[in-house]
Amino acid sequence: MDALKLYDDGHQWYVFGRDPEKPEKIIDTNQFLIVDGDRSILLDPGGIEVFSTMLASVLKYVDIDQVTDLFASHQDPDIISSLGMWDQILPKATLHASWLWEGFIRHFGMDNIAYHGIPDTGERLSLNNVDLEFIPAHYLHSSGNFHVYDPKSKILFSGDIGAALEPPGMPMFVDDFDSHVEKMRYFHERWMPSNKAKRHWLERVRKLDIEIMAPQHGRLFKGDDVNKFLDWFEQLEVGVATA
Amino acid sequence: MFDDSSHIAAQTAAAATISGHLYRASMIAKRMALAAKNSRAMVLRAGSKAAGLKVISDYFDELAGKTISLSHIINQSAISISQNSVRQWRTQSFLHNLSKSSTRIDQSKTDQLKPAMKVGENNLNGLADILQGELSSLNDQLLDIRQYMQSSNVVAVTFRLEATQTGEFQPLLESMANSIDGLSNEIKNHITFSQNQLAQLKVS
Repeated sequence: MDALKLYDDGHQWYVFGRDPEKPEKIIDTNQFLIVDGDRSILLDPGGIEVFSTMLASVLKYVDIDQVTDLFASHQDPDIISSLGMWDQILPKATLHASWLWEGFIRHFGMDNIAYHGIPDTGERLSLNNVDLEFIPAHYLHSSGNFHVYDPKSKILFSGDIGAALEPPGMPMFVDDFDSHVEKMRYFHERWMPSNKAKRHWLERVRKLDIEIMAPQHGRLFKGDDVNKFLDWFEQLEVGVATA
Repeated sequence: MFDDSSHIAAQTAAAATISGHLYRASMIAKRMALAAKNSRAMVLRAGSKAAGLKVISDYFDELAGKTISLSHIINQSAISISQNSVRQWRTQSFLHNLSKSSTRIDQSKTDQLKPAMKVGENNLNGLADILQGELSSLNDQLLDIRQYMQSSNVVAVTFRLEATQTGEFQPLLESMANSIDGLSNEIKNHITFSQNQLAQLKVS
């Protein structure tokens, strides 16, 4: 599994993905680790199929005791079906996810980890030196959905927004926005159900100072490409399935 | 050891299968209880001609009640075994994944996984001990219910014999004896199946 350090100034952001060992038919995912001294949080730690690779990757950068928190943007299996495994290796950790999904996410197996339900309006999580913001993104695509914004690094973890469906081994960052659009179009038209929710999210996110927008699938957006994405998403009609 | 997930999967499936069969046995036991109540009513209607059947009918009613209670208990035992198996399966999968991770990292990091591995192994051993106890207890309970069904077969034979003394009630009472016999055999089939599955669980 590839790992890339996205930020390193007092605290660190890592992205893990492009796992060559993952079974062919499961969708490729990006997992993120934020390290802030003796506390670390894993964002969308992934499905059960990538657990052993993820664990080995994470331990290259932190000790196991440093992983104190997990975050799940929503309840899907590619996001958090590895929970039953993390639950046994990180019994003292806390999982932060929408209050809406607690009873559902626990189906993945959760005997030890504490569940912290994020209220619909979002909230902040203070690690050591960084305050992360859980930004509401309801109905994009899940009915209880959050993204994570770090005002120090100016990185927005945007869950399924910005995701693209591409063959394995694609680069980590968008290098040509115009040609990348077609790789994102169907995903957003089909998986995102609500234009109203999209507008609310855009209104909220345009107020943030974003250097990197980091989705859970596909490539990350940097610099001008972030605004290009927001403009493109704004004009896109979503929720298109009619059959 | 950690690659033995197919064995645990088979164990989980076998325990769930036993639970399913015992549930069906408990449903049949309910029909037996109804048959017992019918036979008692018929014996009362037959009056003095069926005086000898009253004791048998009462015994049958008691047997049906005990069978229902026991089948509920053993169904719960089988469900508990099935749940325990799933926990074992999950723990084994965790240990397997941990083992895979440890081949990809430095020795110093591998040491960090050891406490979790130890806890997992202890859990697995604890679950295996619990499972052995539950299997043994389930085996005893299945033997008890088999004993009840053998008694039930004897009741049916005696019932049929006594029915010959009841004149016009004989055909009805014989039919009831056949019903008792048939239901007992149905339950016995489920018990035999469950015992065979259990034997395989214990062997593997």
